[in-house]
Parts: sequence; C-alpha cells; structure tokens
Amino acid sequence: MRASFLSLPQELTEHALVQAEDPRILAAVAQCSKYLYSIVYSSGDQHLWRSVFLSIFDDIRGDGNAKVDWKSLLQKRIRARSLLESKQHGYSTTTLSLEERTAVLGTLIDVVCTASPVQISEVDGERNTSKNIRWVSKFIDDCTDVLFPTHSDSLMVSPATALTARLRAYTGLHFEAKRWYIHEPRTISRAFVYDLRNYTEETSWGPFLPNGGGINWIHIDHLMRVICTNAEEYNHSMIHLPTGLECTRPYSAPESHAREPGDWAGVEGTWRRIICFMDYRDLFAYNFRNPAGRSEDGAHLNTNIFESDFFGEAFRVLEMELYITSIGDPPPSPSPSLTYSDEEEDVYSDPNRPTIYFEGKSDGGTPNESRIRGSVTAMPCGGIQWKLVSSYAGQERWCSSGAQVGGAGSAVGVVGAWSSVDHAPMDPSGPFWLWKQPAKPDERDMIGMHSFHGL
Amino acid sequence: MALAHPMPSANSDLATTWAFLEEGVDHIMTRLKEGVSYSKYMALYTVAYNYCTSSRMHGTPDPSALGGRSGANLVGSDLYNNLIRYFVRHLETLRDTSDPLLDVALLRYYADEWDRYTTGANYINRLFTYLNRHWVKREKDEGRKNVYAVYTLALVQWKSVFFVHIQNKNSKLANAVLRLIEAQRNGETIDQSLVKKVVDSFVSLGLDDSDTNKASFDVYRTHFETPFITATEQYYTQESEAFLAENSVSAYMKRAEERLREEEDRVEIYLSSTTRKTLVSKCEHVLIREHANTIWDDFQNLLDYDKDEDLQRMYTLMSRIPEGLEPLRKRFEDHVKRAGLAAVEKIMGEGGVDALEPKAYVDALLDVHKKNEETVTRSFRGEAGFVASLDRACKEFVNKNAATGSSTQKSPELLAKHTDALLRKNNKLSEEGALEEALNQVMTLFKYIEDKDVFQTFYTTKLSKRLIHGVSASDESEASMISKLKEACGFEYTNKLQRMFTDMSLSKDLTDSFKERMLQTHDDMDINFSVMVLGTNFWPLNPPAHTFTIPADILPTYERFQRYYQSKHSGRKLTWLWNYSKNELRANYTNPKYILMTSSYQMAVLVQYNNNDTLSLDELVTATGIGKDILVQVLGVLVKAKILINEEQEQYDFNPNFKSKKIRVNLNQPIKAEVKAESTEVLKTVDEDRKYVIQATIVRIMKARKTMKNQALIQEVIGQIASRFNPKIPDIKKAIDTLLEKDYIERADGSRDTFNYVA
Amino acid sequence: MVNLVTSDNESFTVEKAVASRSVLIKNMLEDVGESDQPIPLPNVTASVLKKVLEYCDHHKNEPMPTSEDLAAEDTRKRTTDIGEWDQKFIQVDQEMLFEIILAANYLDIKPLLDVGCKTVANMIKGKTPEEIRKLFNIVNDFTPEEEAQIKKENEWAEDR
Repeated sequence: MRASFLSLPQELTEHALVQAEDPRILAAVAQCSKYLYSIVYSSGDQHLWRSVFLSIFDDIRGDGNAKVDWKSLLQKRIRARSLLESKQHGYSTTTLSLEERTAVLGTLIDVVCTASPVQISEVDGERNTSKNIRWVSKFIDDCTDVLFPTHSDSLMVSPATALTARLRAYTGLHFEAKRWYIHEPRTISRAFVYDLRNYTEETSWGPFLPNGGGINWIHIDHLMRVICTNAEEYNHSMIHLPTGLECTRPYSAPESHAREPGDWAGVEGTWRRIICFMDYRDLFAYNFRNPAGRSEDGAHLNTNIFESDFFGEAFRVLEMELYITSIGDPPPSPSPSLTYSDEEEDVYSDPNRPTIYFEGKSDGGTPNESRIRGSVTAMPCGGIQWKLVSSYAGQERWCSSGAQVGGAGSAVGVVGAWSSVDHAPMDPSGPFWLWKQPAKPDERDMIGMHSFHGL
Repeated sequence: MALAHPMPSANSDLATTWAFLEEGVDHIMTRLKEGVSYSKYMALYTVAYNYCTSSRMHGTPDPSALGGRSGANLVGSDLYNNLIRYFVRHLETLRDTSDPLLDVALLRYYADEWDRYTTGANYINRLFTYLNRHWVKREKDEGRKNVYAVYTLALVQWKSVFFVHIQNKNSKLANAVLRLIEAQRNGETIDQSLVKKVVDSFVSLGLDDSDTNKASFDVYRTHFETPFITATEQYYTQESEAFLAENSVSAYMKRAEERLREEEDRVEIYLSSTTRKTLVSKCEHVLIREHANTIWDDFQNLLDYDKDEDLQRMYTLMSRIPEGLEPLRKRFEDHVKRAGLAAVEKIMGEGGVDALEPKAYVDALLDVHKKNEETVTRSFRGEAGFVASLDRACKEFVNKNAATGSSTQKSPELLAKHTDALLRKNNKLSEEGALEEALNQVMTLFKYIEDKDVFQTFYTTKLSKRLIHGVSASDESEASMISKLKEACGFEYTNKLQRMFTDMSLSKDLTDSFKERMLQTHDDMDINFSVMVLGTNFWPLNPPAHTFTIPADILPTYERFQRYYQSKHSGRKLTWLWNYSKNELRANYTNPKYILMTSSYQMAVLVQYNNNDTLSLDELVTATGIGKDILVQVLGVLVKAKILINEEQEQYDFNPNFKSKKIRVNLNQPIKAEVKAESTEVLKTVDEDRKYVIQATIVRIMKARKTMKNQALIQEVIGQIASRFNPKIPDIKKAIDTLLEKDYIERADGSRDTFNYVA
Repeated sequence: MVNLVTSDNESFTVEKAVASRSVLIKNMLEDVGESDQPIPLPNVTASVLKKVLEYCDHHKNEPMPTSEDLAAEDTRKRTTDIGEWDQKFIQVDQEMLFEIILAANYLDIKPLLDVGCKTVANMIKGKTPEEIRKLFNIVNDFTPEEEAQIKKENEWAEDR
C-alpha cells in the first residue's frame, strides 16, 4: 500500500491540520470527502478543535477541567475576524451595523479577558507571551478606524458604546493616538468625570453601574482620557501610565510573580497613584452655578468652562505602600466612624477570590503622610472592585472607589474616582489611577511633586 | 526468531494482539532477570503501535459520514482495559502471599516486590508509549478522570489492590515501620534502607488526579506521617517525664538536644523532607515547651554558678519554641540589676557617698557590666533581646543605687570626676592605650546615664580647670574623649567643649604676639606674662565675687595688655578673673631663692612685704582691696606655709627664715569654701540650663505646630529632650507658665488646655 | 555503533547518537542495555530509513526535547517556520513525504514528525476543497445536496 494523505492514522491527519495554525483549513478539508468531513466534524471528541484553538489562542480551562465548546468559540472568533477584515480595505472603510459591531467588540473583549496570566519562567526568567494579546493587537492595528471611528456620532450612546469604551480602556488608545486630544472628546470626558451627579451611593461613588450592574466602562473610559491627557499635557515623558493590551493580562504588574499565596489581587507592594482635581471654585461653579440649570435637574450641563483658556486641572502623584491585614473576613474596624459594613452588601463571594483587606501608607512628598486602608473584591460580573480610605493625622478624610482594568494583578491597575468620606452634598470628587511599581526603587519612574494651578 | 509466539501481523484483532502482548508483559513483570532481547522489545512496541494505528490505516471513512461517532478511538481503551486486568491479577497474587507475613518479614517482601514491580512498570510504560502519547492524552484532555499513563496506572492498581488491602488490616504495613523506628529510638540497630524503601513507596503512591506531574503527599500523610507523629509524641512525652524525674535539668537539656538532632537526621535518612517541619515542631513541643517551666526555673541557678555551657544550651533550646526566651530575658534583667546594686552596696564605706572614690564606684559598675556582657555574647549569642535586657538593667543600677539614693545626678557627677582623674597629668595609666581603653569604658557607662546634661556640666567645669591649670594629660586624649561624646550625643553636646580648646590655642597666639609687641615698644618689661582670653559663653567661670586692688607691680602690664587687646578687638569687654589667676614670685631674701607659686590674692598680699616687715590685717585689707573674711582665709594658707608669721592678733609678720625642701613652693591650694561650693554650683547651673532647654524646646515645637494641646505638647517635649535628661512634668508645666507670661504662647480661645504660638 | 535492520532486511550501522534521535531506540537502549544485537524495525523500509537517518545525522548534536518542553507545547509559541535545511530535506515526492511522517511517528522522532506535518499543512493552506482533492487525489463522495449543506456549515470561515 502506498503512503498517502488518506493513509495517515487519524491522529496524524489531525496533527497536520493543527500545524497550519489557521482554522480555515478545517473548513476547506471538511468539504473534500466524507472521511475528512468526519475527522473535522464527527470525530466524537473535541481533540482537533481544541488543538487548533490552542494553536492560536491561550488556554481558557484554568485549573479545573471546565467544559468548553472549543468549536463554537473558535468559529465565533474567526467569524469576528473575517467580518472586521472585510470592512477595512486599505483606507476605505465601511461601517459595521450595530449588531455586527456588538458581536465583534464582544468577541474581542472576550479574547482580551481570557488572555493567559503572565508567568515568569524559572529557567530563563523570560515572561510567557499571550497568543490572545498578539491576535487582538494585530486586529486593532489593522482595523483601528473601524473599531474606533472618529466621527462624533460614534460618541452617541448605543449598546455598543460601553463595549467600545471597554475595548478602548484595554488598549489605552486615549494615550497613544494623538487624535484623542482633539478638543471635543476631552471636554466631554471632563464634563462627565467632574459632574458630581455621577457619584452616588448607587454607583459606589465610583465608575460602577447602579444596582450591582458591574463596571461602568464609559465612566472608566472618560476617567482614563482625563488622566492621560493631563499627564501628557503636563509632564510629557515623566510618568509612564501603564496602558496597552499586554498590561491588561492577569499578573502583568511588576512583582506579581513574587506575590504571597492568597494575594490573588497582587495587593502587597509599592503603588503609584495619580489624582486629578479641579479648583473647587470651578467645580462648584460647573455643578451648582451652571447656566444650563441646577445639577439636580438631570440636564446636560453647560461645558463652556472647560473650553476656557484659563481652565486647567491639577494633578498629583503619590506613592503608596500596601500590605494585607486579612483575607476573607474583614479585620476589626479601626474606627467606629467608618466600618467595613458597606462591603457586606456583597453577598456574592468567589471562593477562589475572597475579599482582601489591606492597610498601608501614602506619601506624596508632602509632609502629610497618610494612612490607607481598603479592600479588593471580586464582583459577580467578573470585575474587581477596589475601595480605599485615606486618613490624615488619624482623621479619615478621602475615599476612593475604582475598578481593575484588565485581569487580577494587571499592570494597568485600578482606575476610579475619589471623594470625601462623608459624601456630604457639594463635596468634591475627581479621577484617580493606581498602578503597581517595581520593588527596586531605581526601576521606578522618576517623580517629583506635580501640582499645578494654585496647589 | 526465538519468540514464544510469532509476531502478529499489522491488522490482527484484539485477541491475537493481546495474547502476544500479555506474554511479553508478564515476562517483563515477573522474569525480567532473564533479560529482554532487542527483537522482543521491538516486537512488543510494534504490535502495540500497530494495534493503536491500525483501524485507520486504510482510509475507510466512517459509514455514517455526516454524523455519529467513529469507532477509531475505542482501540486504545481495549489495550488499556486489558492492562488493568493484567495488573489486578498480578497484584492479587502478591496480596495472597503477603497475607501471613508480619513486621520485618512483611516489610522485606513489600519492599522487594515494590522494586520489581516499579521497574517492570517502567518498561511497560515505555513499550506502550504510543498509547500514552495519543489515547491517554486525548482522554485526559477530554476531561476524563481516572485515565492515567501506563506507569501511573500500575501504581494506581498497586495502591488499590495491594497496598490498601494490607493497610486495612490494622495498618499492618505502617505499624511495622513505626515499630522499627521505635526500636531505633531505643538504641537498636535497624535496616534503615528497608524503612526508606517502604516510606518512599508511600510518597510515590500519592497521585494527584488532576495533575499526575505533581506529587501529592496524601497517602504518605494519612498512612504514615500522621500515625508517626502521634507515636513520636507519645514516645517522647513518656521519655522526657521519666528522664526529668531522675536527672538534673542540665542533663535533661543535653538529652533533649541529642534527641532533636536525631530526629532531624531521621528525616534526612529515610523520611520525606516535607515531614521535617511537623516532626521537629512536635518534638520541640514535647521536649521543650512541655517542660519549659522546669527549665526556666533552673536559669537562675546556672547564672549564679556561671555555667556557661548549660546557659548556652538553654538559650539554644528555648530559642526554638515561641516565647521561649522571654522569661529568660526577664530573669536575666533582674539578675544583672541585683548584681549591680549589690556591687555598689559593697563598696559603700562608712563615710557615705562623700567618701566614695569615683574610681572605685566606676570600676564596680563596670565589672558588673563586663561580666554580664560577656555572658550575653558567649551564652546568648549576642541576641538582641538579651542585649536589651542588659541595657535596661544597667540603666537601672547605674542611675539609682546605694550611692546615689534617689538622685539621678550623683552618677553622672562621679563618672565625670572619674573621667577628670583619668585625663589629668598625674593619672597612673602608663601603658600605651590604657587611657584610651579607660575612656572607652567611661563611654560604656555614659550610655546608661540618664542625666547626660549633668555629666556635661561637670565635665565642662573639670575640663576648664584642666585647661586653665595646664594639667591635662594630653591634647590627644582630650580630643579623643570629646569625639566619643560627640558620637554619642551629637555636635551640640560637645560644641562648648571644642570652643574651649579653640580659646586655648587662640590665647597662646595672643600671648606670643603681645610679647613680641612689648619687645618692640617696652623692652623694660621685666614681668613674664601670659594670658588666656576665654569666651564668656563657653567657659563655666565666674568673675571674682569681691573687690581687688591690682598691685602696683603688675599694673603696667595689666594696662598695656588691656590697651593692646582693645586695639586688636575694639568693643570687646575683658573681665579679669583674678580668682583663677596665678603667679610665680621669686624670693630674693632666701637662700636658695625659692620660687613661690601663688594665687593672685596671695601675690597681692606678699608683694606688700617688699616694703614692710609687719602689717596689720586692716593695713592689708586697704592695700589689697580684698574683703576681710576672704583675706583671713588667704592669709591662713600663707601662715600655715610659714611664709608669714601670725603671732599677735591680726598682725602678720614677714618670716625671713622661711625654709622649704623644694625650690618651687606651691602655695596655691584651693581654699575650703571654694571646694565645697563647686558641686552645688555645678548643680545649680544644671538646673538653670534645664529650664532654658525646656523653654527653648517648647518654643521650637510651638513654632512648627502653631497649635497644640497640653498633653501632646508635654509628650513631645519629653520625646525631644529624653536623650539629654528626663524632664519632670512639673518643670515642663512651669516652663509653659513662664512662656505664657512672656507672651511666647497663649491659650486658645475658650480652651483651658490648648495653646497657640504667638508669632 | 548501533545496527538497525529494516523490514526488507537491510542493515544500517549508525552512531548511537544518530539512532538515539528516535526516542523509541533511545528508550530501548536505556532499558535493555547496549549490546551488539541487531535492532529490528519491522515497520520501516530501507528507502525510508535511509532518508530518516539522514535527518537524524544532521540533527544528532542538538539537544533532545525534554518532557517539560512537550508538556508546555500548547502554551509556548511554536515556530511555524521550518528550518532551511529541513525544508530542502523534505522536498520529496508525496509518497516519501507520508512515509517519512509515518516512520517518524513510529520511531518517535517528534521534530521530524512536525516538519512533515507542517509541510503537509502548508500544502493545504489557502487551497479550495477542489484544489485539495486534486492535490491528494481524493474522491469527492458527496452528493450535490450534501455538498451544499456542508458548504453552509463551513460559512464561519468565509471571507465576506
């Protein structure tokens, strides 16, 4: 008998198909003959589809042998790719329909969110790469215009808006693509993040949807844009905000490989934090003396104030040192004025990710060193919520509420909003960004005191 | 080929294939000693390989093309199930053979069979590589539990068919191992390699279902480690109690140390290293913690008799258990304190503290410190906790003891006086480096002194005397001592002292340049004159408390220098400290011509006799300008030295027949009133300084904070001053009141206990 | 030296390092021990073994892939590219190509198996079903209805 393609044992035929690292080969081969069709579509197990999937994407099984429908997941991802590619040919682009857009964005976000955690090889110290990130990056490079259209109607709210915002938060494109400095988006973002109506008990005083609806990615997107543009405008290369898809991978933050068991969120270590704020008089005027009406009215506020040549925000860079005080059970409350009771609302708890409680100190180069305490919680939606309270001279003064952008221990870190502990009416609020630093001080970015406009 | 069965062809059915394979498998499992030829090995591999790949070799599509499951994947499971059946049957024989065996015989059998079985299973695993690579891997990827690579499968069967069976009989296997270990603990020689082999098998049988690459110690733990630890606990509980009942603590500690070492070696020799922590901490608990009270109670005894080796052993043992050292540290502290107090008690003579020699006092303190410091280093390995105990104890007895009473100022005074004696010319430390060493020892005690400012004041006073009188042993030693103090207390503490040296050297230059000038302008000057110009703020010197008429003999020199100095530094005020000045007079009326070394007052008296032989007290008062009461004392010294004769009331005659053994006669003895005044004077200065320091500190704090509560302010003041002395709270309160009066601070509106800084 | 005997009874004497590129032979030498017995290879013919040994000889000094490498295969980045020498080496007719693949599979020479399978994959890549049938001489045994249905089933991979 002569050796031929058809004479190979099934496992070798499959092996050859996997080596192509192109799933479309499966469709072509399946259409050749009944035997080949049966190998692709009715082999009785998922071996072939799983292997092809894993030749292109990161494994999504985690520790347990979760049941995965490899075939439909792979087909869904390939379909999204084909769809997107078909819309972008050189410089001419066609718009996606809302339905297509939702599907494509959903798929890309899923691929980003299932990227493999960063691991450092014990043999050569190399960090593993993620096939998912490589795959999505290529896409976004090739199809940026389709994914993030510049014309302003894309900023209108639609079901896809939150998805676009989320993907942009992952890519960090506020920062890299210069066109995001055009006035309009920056003003819109400022108008949003400094609109005090967006901070309520319902939204946990941060970028969250009401009623436990998860993370408000539109809010996150605005917060990131405000911080990025400020950082770019004020200090150019001095601060490196950790953005980009690679920075969203679980445990991509510095020192993650050395974290203690139990510290699933990578809490312990040194962090850097940027805080932005408006001059309180401006903030008050924008919110409560707004020509468009009182802020309770629910109307769009007049944003002229942000267009003024004299307008500017201040921002400050702080360094924090955090350590864990308890995992799972809240530690005894340090002060009766503010207990952890607000966290207990979350009946949901992930057995692998129990809430972590931490403490630490923050030093902004000012004489006012402050104490920090807080918690990290896994949300039912899969997101990770951070809460911090800082106190000066024993008085709890500020609290911060934010969401991890990317997986646990992502290098991007936490984006959110700060507000006063009392949450009295008319108390101020503003954006913050918190990200992990290397353990060795000489590997960190240089910082000085950055404060502007009368601070 | 010499095969029992001919090799089946590529497309043979299961029965033919398995018949061939089973014979080979059995050969390897039971008769491996006979060897395996290459051709047999290759035949077995090839037959297994062919069977796994055969059903698809023809490219026949599954008949139901558009759905349904191809039968292709079943071939693997055929071989796999047959292997299971083989292993089970094979192990059942072992099981039956082992049933009547006990103890060492059982262990021997088990270990031998284990060796043979695992070696064979390794072969089989490789012969069935293709099954492992494809079918097994695929089944596992599909999430099927209980499918293993062939070698692991063999172990799984060993465990369930053989191992669990033996263990179910009253843990027959593990107990046999435990009995051997107990025998070894009792001193018998055992076959350690046998224990190791069996224990290793417990580890190998731990199979992690989710990841076969990861070792799981569950079998080892359940079947061996847990009962082993329990047995260990029982054994040593019994042994330690029995041993202590008949032996001393010292002997027991030796024993415990040996036992702990033995157990650690045991882990090394034949247990899994994962057991180390549990075993060692269990032994530490039973051998040390359970008898900690008895051991602690023996500590004082060891200290009293300086049993260094036992102390060291107790330290080492106690450092192994949590909180083990704390009671020792506490006891050690008390011990040192008692020793210190006793040492001072012993040197206190009948004369009380006034008769106490500073050197004797300092040496007594140092001896206690030295001895116990050595104990810390030698027996407690310089451990920080014991160092702290030593320091606390020394601080206690150095500052308060039989010599000091309740005053914390006595110790610094005595130490400063001792230091003065060391730094004087006539100290008896001839040896090279001996002085330096003595100064280092001063610093050892200085570290413990609470009122460092008292020491500072005494030291300054003594230093000024040494410098003025030129009796310092060497500039080098002085500088060395100052740099030690500077290191201990900082620049501020020694600033004044250093300025004193500066003044001394400036004065020398000044004297020289003055003399030079005089040579040019007044070559008639017949008085040898030298001067010290000392900064008022840096020297603890007081101007004369009484009047004095400058004798005509030195008046021109006095005036010339005054003019010279003003020309150089106009605007500076010179105060002449006659009370510290000294003179040398040559007695031309005697043979030999004695040199009289005098104070200025004595000189003023004596020069009157250049023109008179007899003078009344009143005449002398008028001539010298010195008050009568002081003058009487001055004259008293001269009379006692027989320079003058006082035979009639208030009349002093010149003694032309003065005789002395020495050419140089030192008349310059301090008069009694001065000696007595010194200590009180110094302490008064200290109190004044303290008031000032407290006030300055409050002002500094308030300036920075603007507003502060009373309590917080007091705390802060104490915190900032503690390194110099322990300020008393009433003194701080007094200082606050003073500052309120002076309007440096004010009470905040409507508040009793909050202060504002007044800018 | 190791003496290999093919199914058609031809004998090849090669260095141990060369023969040991085959994990099968390497394992056997380890288990059974070395001797001067011939090693029969009942599934390999002389013409194929010659070719395989050429490959083994060329790669004899490279480190063997460890079991960790094989376990990590799914997560690590693979090299899609075939080395230059290998590319030339594998330029053989289809029958020999598949013979090499089968022999590499049997002898357990993973790198050679991958080179062979990658080559096959590259041959298929970018081709239509019809082109693939032609390439491998495959008979289309679908009815037109089946063909239409299957085409629809494979739309997920279509460019639009």
